[in-house]
Amino acid sequence: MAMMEIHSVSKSFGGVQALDNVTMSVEDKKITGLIGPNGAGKTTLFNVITNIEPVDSGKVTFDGRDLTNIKPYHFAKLGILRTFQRSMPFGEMTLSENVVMGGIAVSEIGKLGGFWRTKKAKNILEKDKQKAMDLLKVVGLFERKDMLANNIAYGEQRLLEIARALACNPEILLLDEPVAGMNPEESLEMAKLIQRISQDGLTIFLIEHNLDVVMNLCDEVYVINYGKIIANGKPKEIQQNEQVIEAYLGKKGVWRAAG
Amino acid sequence: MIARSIRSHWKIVLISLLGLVVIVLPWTVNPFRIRVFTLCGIYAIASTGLTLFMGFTGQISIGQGAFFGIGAYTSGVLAKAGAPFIFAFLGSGLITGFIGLVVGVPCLRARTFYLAMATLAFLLVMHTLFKNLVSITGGTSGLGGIPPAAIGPVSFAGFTEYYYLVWGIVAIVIYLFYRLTQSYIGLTFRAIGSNELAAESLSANAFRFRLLSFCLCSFLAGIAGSLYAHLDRVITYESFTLEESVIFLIMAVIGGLGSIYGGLIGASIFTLIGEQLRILERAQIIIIGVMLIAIVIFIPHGIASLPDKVKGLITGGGRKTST
Repeated sequence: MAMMEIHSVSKSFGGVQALDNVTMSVEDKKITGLIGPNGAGKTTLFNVITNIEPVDSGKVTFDGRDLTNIKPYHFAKLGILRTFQRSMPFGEMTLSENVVMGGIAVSEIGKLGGFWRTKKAKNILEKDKQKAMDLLKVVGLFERKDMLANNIAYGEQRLLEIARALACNPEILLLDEPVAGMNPEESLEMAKLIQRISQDGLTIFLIEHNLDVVMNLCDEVYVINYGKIIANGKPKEIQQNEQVIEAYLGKKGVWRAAG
Repeated sequence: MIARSIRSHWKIVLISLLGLVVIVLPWTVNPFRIRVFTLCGIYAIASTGLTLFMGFTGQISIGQGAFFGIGAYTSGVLAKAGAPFIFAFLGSGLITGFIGLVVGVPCLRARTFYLAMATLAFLLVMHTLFKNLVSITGGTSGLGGIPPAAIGPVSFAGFTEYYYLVWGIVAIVIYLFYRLTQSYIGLTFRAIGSNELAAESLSANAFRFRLLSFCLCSFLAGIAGSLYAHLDRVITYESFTLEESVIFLIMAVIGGLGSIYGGLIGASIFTLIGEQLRILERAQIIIIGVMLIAIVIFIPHGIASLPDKVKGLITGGGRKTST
């Protein structure tokens, strides 16, 4: 059984059918990618999975559990962490505080903890801080740990968000265009990071426009167009799929990553 | 050696000096003028509540004057009914906090502008109630004969004693506020104020935390109101109007919404300017107004953020958040 199953999910906004009977599965411990032209419904799918928008019909299950009525703030506790298309750091907080905030949900001291500094509390707070430091090291931001998130580069903010999500001990990461707005070096660094995380056993479901990244990273790729899944398979198969090429380029042509 | 020591511990040094000023003040002024400085402390508590709600969780409330009034009347009524001061004091805080909960549940579904309107509406409603619930509030003649504060055998009836009681409570409030900012609750408040969507993706129930913040804010207004009631020992509805709400807001903004000392700094500046210009009452308003505009334009994070700004100018680099 796949870790996350999306069963015939449909969603419309007014007259626009954003998602049309979308069915797909995200395999355990693999990297699954979702690609498609702009406006095809990719981010809407993420919003619907995490209940930021309700589905019109269909359902999403995670480890067999129906996610339909779960409130958005509950998803992190279930192990489902997502990042957003636009960079969303806690700007006025330091990098270190950002990552610690990520770990609050799974902290031994609880979300309301740390008010009274008992010995036990101090130990747990120190442990949480250490975990945040380790994660900052993983994404290469440790040296800047005391800088405000607003003051670091855009690409670094996106790395920060990954560290922050990892602090919550996720079982699955939903990454919405992780390399959007990044130059080639930053994209490569992010891709390497994602690969490392995946090798550590995390399941990853990502949306991307950058076809180089998708084709090199993903084990399985789904293609969506006008709210419908039009193809899925291994990257090599997708690259040769005529329907997909047509959707992206409007006519048959040489497959060139649009980046 | 000493210089470096002072540089890294400058905050503690400054606080100690200010603490000294507070302690010594009554000896240096005419006893009848002590009341103004006591009032400063009371206002500081009410605006500290706002720095928490507005600064840390990023919301707006124009209702603080109403909660201030609720606290005052509650404490007055309880005390007149025979309750000991501590009971009336804490009771009014808890009751006001509870009313904050009741009001917050519907109002906090809204954000920013609409929330401001909702709290304003609450203020206007409460003002009318204060005026018209004559049996409880004494209506236009006010609620008088409130017994003086006393804890056990120690009476705080005198101007000076009450001054120390109030400022002792101010110190406790700020200390607890400090504890809060060091806790995960405080971190969550800031995260929600910064980016609610991201905070929820990390499992923070934004609505609940906003509600908690609002209740703490109204609790503080409540105990401030209680201290106000026992100051002059007579209160009228004219003390709990839009003007009070706005004054608390101005104090909080001038002092610094992002700082635990914001309310205290704002109240102190307000009081000091008022004191210096006792004769020129009209000038007071103008000066405060000009100051507010200047702060909002040039130092949006308030006076409390000045030390970090200055430090930033000197060291020139990644600046830390101020606490």
